[in-house]
Amino acid sequence: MNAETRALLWLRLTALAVIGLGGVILTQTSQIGENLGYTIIGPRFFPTLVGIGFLILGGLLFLRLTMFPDQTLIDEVVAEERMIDWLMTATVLALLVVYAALLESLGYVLATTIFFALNSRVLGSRRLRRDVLIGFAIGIAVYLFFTRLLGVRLPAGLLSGLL
Amino acid sequence: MEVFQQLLIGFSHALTPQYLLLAAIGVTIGTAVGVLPGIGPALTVALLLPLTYNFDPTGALIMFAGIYYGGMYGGSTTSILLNTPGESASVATTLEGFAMATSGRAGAALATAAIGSFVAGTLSTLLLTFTAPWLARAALLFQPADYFALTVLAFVSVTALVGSSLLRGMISLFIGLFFGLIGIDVLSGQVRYTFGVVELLDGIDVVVVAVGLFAVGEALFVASQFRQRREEVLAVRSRIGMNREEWRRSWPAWLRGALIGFPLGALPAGGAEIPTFLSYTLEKRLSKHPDEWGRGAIEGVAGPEAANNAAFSGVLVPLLTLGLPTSATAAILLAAFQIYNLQPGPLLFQKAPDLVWTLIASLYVGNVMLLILNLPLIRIWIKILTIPRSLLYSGILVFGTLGVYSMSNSFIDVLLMYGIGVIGFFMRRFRIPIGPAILGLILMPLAEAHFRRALAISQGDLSVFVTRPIALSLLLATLVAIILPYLPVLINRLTGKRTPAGRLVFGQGEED
Amino acid sequence: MAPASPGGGWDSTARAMQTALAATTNQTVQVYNVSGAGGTIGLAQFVNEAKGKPHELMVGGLVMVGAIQTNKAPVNLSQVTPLALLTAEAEAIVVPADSKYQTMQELIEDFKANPTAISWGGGSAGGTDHILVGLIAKAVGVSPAQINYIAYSGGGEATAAILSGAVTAGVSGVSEFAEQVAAGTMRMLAVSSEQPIEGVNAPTLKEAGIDVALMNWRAVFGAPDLTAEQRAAVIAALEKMHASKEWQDALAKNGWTDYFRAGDEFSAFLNNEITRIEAVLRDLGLIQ
Repeated sequence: MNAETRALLWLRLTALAVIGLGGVILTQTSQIGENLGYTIIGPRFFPTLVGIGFLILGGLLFLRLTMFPDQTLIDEVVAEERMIDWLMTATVLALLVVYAALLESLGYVLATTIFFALNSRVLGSRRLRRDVLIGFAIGIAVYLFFTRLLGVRLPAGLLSGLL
Repeated sequence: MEVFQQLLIGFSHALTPQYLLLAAIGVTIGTAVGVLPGIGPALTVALLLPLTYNFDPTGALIMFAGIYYGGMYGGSTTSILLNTPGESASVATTLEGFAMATSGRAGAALATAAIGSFVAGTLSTLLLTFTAPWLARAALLFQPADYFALTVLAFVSVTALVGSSLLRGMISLFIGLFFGLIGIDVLSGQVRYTFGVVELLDGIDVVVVAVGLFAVGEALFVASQFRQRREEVLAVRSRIGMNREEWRRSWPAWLRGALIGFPLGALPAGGAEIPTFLSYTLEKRLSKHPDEWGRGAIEGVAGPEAANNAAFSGVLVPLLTLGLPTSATAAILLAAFQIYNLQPGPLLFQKAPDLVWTLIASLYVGNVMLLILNLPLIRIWIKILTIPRSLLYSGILVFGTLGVYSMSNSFIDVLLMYGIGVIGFFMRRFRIPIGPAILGLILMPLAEAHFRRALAISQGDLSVFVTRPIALSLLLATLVAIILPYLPVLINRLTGKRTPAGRLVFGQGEED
Repeated sequence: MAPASPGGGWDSTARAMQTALAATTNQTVQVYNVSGAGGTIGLAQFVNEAKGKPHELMVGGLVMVGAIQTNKAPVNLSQVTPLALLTAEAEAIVVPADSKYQTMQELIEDFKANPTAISWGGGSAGGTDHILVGLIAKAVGVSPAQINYIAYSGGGEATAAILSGAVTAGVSGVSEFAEQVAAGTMRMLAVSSEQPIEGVNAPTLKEAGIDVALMNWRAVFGAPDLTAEQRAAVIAALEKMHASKEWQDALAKNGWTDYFRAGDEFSAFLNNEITRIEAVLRDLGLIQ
């Protein structure tokens, strides 16, 4: 599959996703309870409008892609498709999720240090020691500022005895 | 005039070296806290309010005004430099502001934001000084039908935000509308689209969506395109201030922004977001440089920033004259008054005139102080952009996560923000603009609630939207705003001429 | 823990307790906020994380009772340890100054004659204000399906709606309207307390012939699974706090009515309220 076919496939999938979301919205409206009090417009009315809107817009986008292809859009997406690095995108996303998950157990300072250093490395920085130091500095500065000055709780984690 | 006398008394309280020092401290701390993404002015003030307990009422109010203006300006700094709006009212600033920063004009963007904030802040404080009681009465004329008409007018802003394709812009708008539906329905108390996640019961905070779509989406996008551009920096050089041309283009935008922001801020259910988007739309329509929009048009920063700042003075109108806290910040200000056993309301001007006029005077002082402190700081801020990309985006992600995490201490909220970031990534990938989604998210709950309230009160009679003069005129204004851009095209088509590339011609089928 | 954002009623209650407890126990007391969904998000977190920790306290109130039921929350108040009622505020029914209604009876006459023509403005659906309107409708024989209740998200917005004349009558806490009534822009028709309130020129609902009383109370809860000794110790500390000068000052400063009831007395009160509120919310269609 060349970049152009892939890009077009992606765009069609987007259109289908929009239609699909419309479908989810409409089927889920039945889950919204109706109020027994005096009501002119209930809580399901606007969701129904939005759901229908998604169906129409998704359908239009699909038509636009198949019958009258938007060449500028396709060219731009194709250019990016050639360059795209899914591995790096997924790695950054995975690092983020791990970062959020570790905030509570490792504590704000350590989790931030690790995330900052690893993420910078993934994004191309080659000076690990410097990045660890910067990450630690940001983490500790934010932690002290928030907990000491602002009275906002941040998890201390492993360093709870030291901070 | 009595007002002048009172104001002079206010100044005589506010203008002592000790209080000026407090104002300076307030602005500095406010800016420092406000630049943290996710922490907008309201939260800044709430967090720093205890600091003001140590002073006498005058000192506290002056420091308070300083903190507020500092926090407000700090929020726009991150919008411009890091593409990360600190609060919903800075989203409109982000659109052109970050574009200016990436094209090496961060200095000018920050300068027009700072000076614009000052101009609009001062102008709107003047309006507050002289028109508050009258404006408060006028604002109370607004009923749900009128508010609904106002949100309809605000929806016109989408035409300025859609970018090159109307269809993709509308998809973005609807994504925002859907986000706006999530959570407990205010009117019926029914739960909608939470899919069993309790954290979604209160809906999705605009900051979570804005940080997700803008900052996380951008970071993921940059990562996906990394083969192309390695260790480069965003913009190496940037001038500090504005050149003559930029001054000339900023002035009218500041004034228009202030004039939009102040009255809309004064509406008890108006808010600061609608004026920023309306100002953005107006500036784009009036612009003589339509080709610059999306690539860093200075009016797009000047107008919304001024509107945002003026809206705050507007919010003070119902608070001081009617005792109605109409925004998060106003609610905190109310708390500040209560510390001194004062209940803002219709009787406040009689009960504690000294304090009220001191507060108003301190707003002028805070504005000046902001300008004095922050213009030199621009030099330091723009250095942020010389940080290598890898570190900068890691930093943006760290601060974005911090903003959302510190609001709720919730892992789920942070995951939600990352999830929205993934949506933002795909939106960037397929050229679906971000702005309309934020507009939809802000307007959906307002439009729906006011529409349903209006019909409940009228017992189902749809004519409320056309029989009330305010609602009718706002709806007519909407119609004009929609048709106006097409008028030159229509006229030219009728007379058989080609469309000139003049003003007012955006929105016509660029798509094809 | 205050299960609401900074600045609100539960938060200020928690912060007043912080001051008073710090003074009476000589320990540092920390307040943290977990806001959202009428306190149910905070409650869920409290149930999961504070189990068996006597030093963890949570502020809550009537709104939480309703929110647990309307939001189908996965946790409820039987999972925490009720410790003491702290304060209570009566609700007030007001009309704009230029309204044709001079007394509660006149309003109720029209309400009975044409229920949907009377729009009631107040706080969020299922909240205290809505519950009061439901109780009134029940007492005067109007079907809950006929209540035209217009919910607003905040006190300021509701007050503006009443002043603009958009809604017929407004319902909220007495203090919310006190300033407007004093300035003559609103007229208070009735209050929802058992006894008339000193300094408030309005009859109780009972005096106006409607057999309804409702107080918006705030209380403090302890962690789940406390032992009897732990519970007794915390209640003793709270009683000491209640007697302290700091707490009494806070009551006076905030205009809160003292409603202190500790231990079993509060537990009985709480069960009673839960049953009553559930019945109204079911009538209003908020629980299905």
